[in-house]
Amino acid sequence: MNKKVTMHRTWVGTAQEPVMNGNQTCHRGRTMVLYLLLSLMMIGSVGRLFYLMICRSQYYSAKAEDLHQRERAIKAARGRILDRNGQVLADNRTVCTISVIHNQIKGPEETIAVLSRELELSEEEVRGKVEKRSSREVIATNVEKELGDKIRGFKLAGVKVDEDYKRYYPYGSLASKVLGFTGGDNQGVIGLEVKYEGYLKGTNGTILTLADAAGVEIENGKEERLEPIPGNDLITSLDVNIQQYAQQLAYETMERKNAKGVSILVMDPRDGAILALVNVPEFDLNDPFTLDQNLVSESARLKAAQAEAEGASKQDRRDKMWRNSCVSDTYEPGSTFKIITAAAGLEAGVVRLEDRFSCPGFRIVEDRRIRCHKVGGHGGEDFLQGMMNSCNPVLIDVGQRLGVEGYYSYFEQFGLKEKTGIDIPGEASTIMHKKDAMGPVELATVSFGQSFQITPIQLVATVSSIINGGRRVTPHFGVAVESSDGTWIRSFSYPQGKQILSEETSQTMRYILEKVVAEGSGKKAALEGFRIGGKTATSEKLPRSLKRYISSFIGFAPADDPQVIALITIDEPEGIYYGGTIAAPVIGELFRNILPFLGIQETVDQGR
Amino acid sequence: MVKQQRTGQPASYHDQRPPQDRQGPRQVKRLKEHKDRRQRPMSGASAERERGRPPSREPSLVREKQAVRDERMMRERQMAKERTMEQAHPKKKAKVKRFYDYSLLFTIIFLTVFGLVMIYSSSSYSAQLKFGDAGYYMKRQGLIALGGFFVMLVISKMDYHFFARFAILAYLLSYVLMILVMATPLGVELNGKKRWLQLGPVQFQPTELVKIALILLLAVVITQMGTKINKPKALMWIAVLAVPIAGLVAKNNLSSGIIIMGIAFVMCFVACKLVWPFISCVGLAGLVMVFAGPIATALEKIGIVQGYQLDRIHVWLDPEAYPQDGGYQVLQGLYAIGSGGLVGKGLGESIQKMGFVPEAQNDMVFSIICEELGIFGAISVILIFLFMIYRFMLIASNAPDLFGAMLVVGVMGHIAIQVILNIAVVTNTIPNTGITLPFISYGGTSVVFLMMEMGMVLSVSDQIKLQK
Repeated sequence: MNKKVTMHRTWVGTAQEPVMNGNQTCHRGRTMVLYLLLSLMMIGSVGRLFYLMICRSQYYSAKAEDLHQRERAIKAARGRILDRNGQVLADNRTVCTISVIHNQIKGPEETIAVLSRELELSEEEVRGKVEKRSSREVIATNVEKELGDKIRGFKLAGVKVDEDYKRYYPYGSLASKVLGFTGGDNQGVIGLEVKYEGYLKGTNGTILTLADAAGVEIENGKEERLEPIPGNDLITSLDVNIQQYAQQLAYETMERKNAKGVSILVMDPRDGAILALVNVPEFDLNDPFTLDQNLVSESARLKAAQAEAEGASKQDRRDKMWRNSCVSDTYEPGSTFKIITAAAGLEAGVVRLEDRFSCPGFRIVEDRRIRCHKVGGHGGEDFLQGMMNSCNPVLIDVGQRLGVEGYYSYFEQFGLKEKTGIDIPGEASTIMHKKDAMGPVELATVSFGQSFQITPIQLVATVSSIINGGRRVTPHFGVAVESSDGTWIRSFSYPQGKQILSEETSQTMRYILEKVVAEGSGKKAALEGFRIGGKTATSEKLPRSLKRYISSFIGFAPADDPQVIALITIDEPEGIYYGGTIAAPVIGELFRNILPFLGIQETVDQGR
Repeated sequence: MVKQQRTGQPASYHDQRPPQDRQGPRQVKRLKEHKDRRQRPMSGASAERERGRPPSREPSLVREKQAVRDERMMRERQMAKERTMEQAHPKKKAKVKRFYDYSLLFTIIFLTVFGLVMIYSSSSYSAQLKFGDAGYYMKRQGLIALGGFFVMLVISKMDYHFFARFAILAYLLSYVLMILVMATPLGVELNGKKRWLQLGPVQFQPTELVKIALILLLAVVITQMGTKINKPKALMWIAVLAVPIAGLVAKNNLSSGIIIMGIAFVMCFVACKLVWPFISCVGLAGLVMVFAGPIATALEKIGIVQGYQLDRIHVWLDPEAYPQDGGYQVLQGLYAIGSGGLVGKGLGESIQKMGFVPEAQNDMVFSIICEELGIFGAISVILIFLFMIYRFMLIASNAPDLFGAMLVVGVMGHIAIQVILNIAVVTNTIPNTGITLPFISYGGTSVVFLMMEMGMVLSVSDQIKLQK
């Protein structure tokens, strides 16, 4: 190729000689090679693009999307809480959230003036938020809808009024410690609202808007909307009517006896469904942070004033106010616990109804002299009479017959050492002697319900099990959850607990307890036309030297086929404090009203 | 003038043209520019005479080999004709046409206008925020491009040999301007890079001038060297011309330095018959690419590579490990490219341009093209550049002389390297360095000098004769 030299006369002015030019064929070849190489590289970059834009497209798209999208949550409506008849106990109300978007604000001064005036906020606070360079600043939440609409009516640029849901409790303070309330993010704080959070909460929706690098939303940008899924409704076993009536009775009792608090628990002993759980003083669920609500008695007011004087923190006092004492507090059950001792004795066969006992007014156990509540003693009596008299020596004897080993095993068999499994948070555990540390004295005191503590709900659950034929029940509120449109429903099942007692013993216990009400210490709970069983109790609060009491009565009806069981505890009543005198009549009164309502017929004519 | 016979074509071949036109293919279009006749390569003696140079200075060798040369010219011209004309119509009367490359012209127009659209699309958001005028960048670029376009048209109608006179001047001017930028207050620093020269109201990047000056100079030098170019020593000389200025440019603008070296490399590659220097260069570059990480680390240890340059290498190897620092631009570009997918989000629908990709209208404009037009759009753009380079190749192959060919090859190298490097940077195939996409990226200096280069290429094409 080199031979094919073409001579060119060079045209460059400075060159004086003709120069042998490189041959054109070579240039063409090389130019072609160059072109091919460059093309190859470009095709290579196409390959790279293909990899990035097709193979990795999803990865980078997702990353970019993440970068661009600003999320705005659409709150999901929280599920309602209903009573067993469909009455709404907890609902949602539309409220507004007022926020400002800094770089959309046109007249900052006017905006500040209007917002601080309408929302009753300090001007500095509003100014700070309005002038803050942020993509979105929330000025106020939970603003009433009317006020929100009014602010929207001012048509201030950059002010956003977003509608939102707020929990609303139509019955105010009714069953406050059971239902619980929700916090600022609509999350459950106490009670059923916490326990069933997962069902009630629902799934928040989102508005995904596009934003530029500075976080400013792009106008007319495509907006993706993920609709919120409302929470499921919770259907509870509560009955508003019973709850209201029980609450009324509780307040009356509290006021009358100048008590610090009164609790009434009404349950179906067959399955553990709780119909009412009153702990007065209740608090307003729509205003749960205000302290010292509904203090109807002087002593309760004194207690509150004392707590304030002692400088207890507001949060501590609120926690106390929100506390569901039936579930979270333990107490010495006192004489009501004799039901358990009696059931254990009968089940073990160490005692029969007609066994004879003698009560001199005390019993000496080892070196201790344990008094009966009747100082003079009940004298000679059989076991049934001992129960009707609520005679301590009789039960001490039964306990001693069982022995520590035997008693402890029944204690455990009845499920008293475990929690009941009630479906609200904060259930307290039983405080009981260790088996090894239990001597005859401890056994004697436990036999009539002292020197250990259980929760009221535990007592009710255990007594229910004893009288319902011997099956352990799980006390509960939740019956079912249902999607808001009714298309989905899930019923909760509370499996029948284990048989803790024979049917026969259960029947005997029903008989004994009916006798207690009919002729014994609980006769003030008796109700004309109904067969009612029950047991009174007067527990000393610790320290015993203060002589403060908890009067209680546990009653059930009908005595031969219990369909409802109720426990009342009166905390520190003044004056007469005997459970048989002040607690039993309240349950009698309660039953008088709710038994017909529950469809329990008068049966007095047929039997006796 | 008996050149018709020498072409070996029938006499009727040129018979539609004025008699002067029949002088022969190489002279055909120079008739209007009589002064240029002296440049006819095949009639060197007469050209010399026309230039008024004493015949005595013409070496006798030329005259002696005149006949041989004529014969060779004839053969070659015949070959050229066979390439450029359809032989299927022997009866049809063929004409000599000027080969003004309209395809290239329209490619240039299309790319420039497309570039304006993309500049508007990618910059309108930030321009609105910054200047309150969404079309700020587009209008500026449009005006400069329009001016550049007329400059290009004028240049394309000039004889490209004329530019050779300015080769050395431009080359020296490049040095002067580069030193002015670096060492005097006339140099303006933007974004931490001292790349701009402020001359009165005009602000421009001298590196763009360096590129065109080097293309000119190397074309002249290579042409002058003739066959000596095939010796390694000649390559050394070219390196001596190119490396210092490239180094000077690279000091503040590494990518432009690389492009300048690339242009020199490409021109030598075409001109020189040697193979090994180029293969070894490419091999070495490839090795460096593959082992960039370890090499850079080693170099940093001995202090040749700066810390920030090492960081760039690390960012390149794993951009997602440095999402905020060095990797931000690359990563945002990748997000843009990746989210384009097959057909893209649609023109104007890019989100990455909204402040995510910094200076989206500039170096990163290709990533916005990918995002908005998808891989179809991106490949179309690459195909248009491929077509443009194809036109360069055609013009270079058919250029009337070596000087023309080398000019076009230089421009071809410039455009192709810049396109390839830009796409490679945007797709993170190579470490990030600021390279604009010719005709599309925003940049006034760039578009003016690009237009001038295009004018030169068109001027070369203008002097190709076409027989039909």
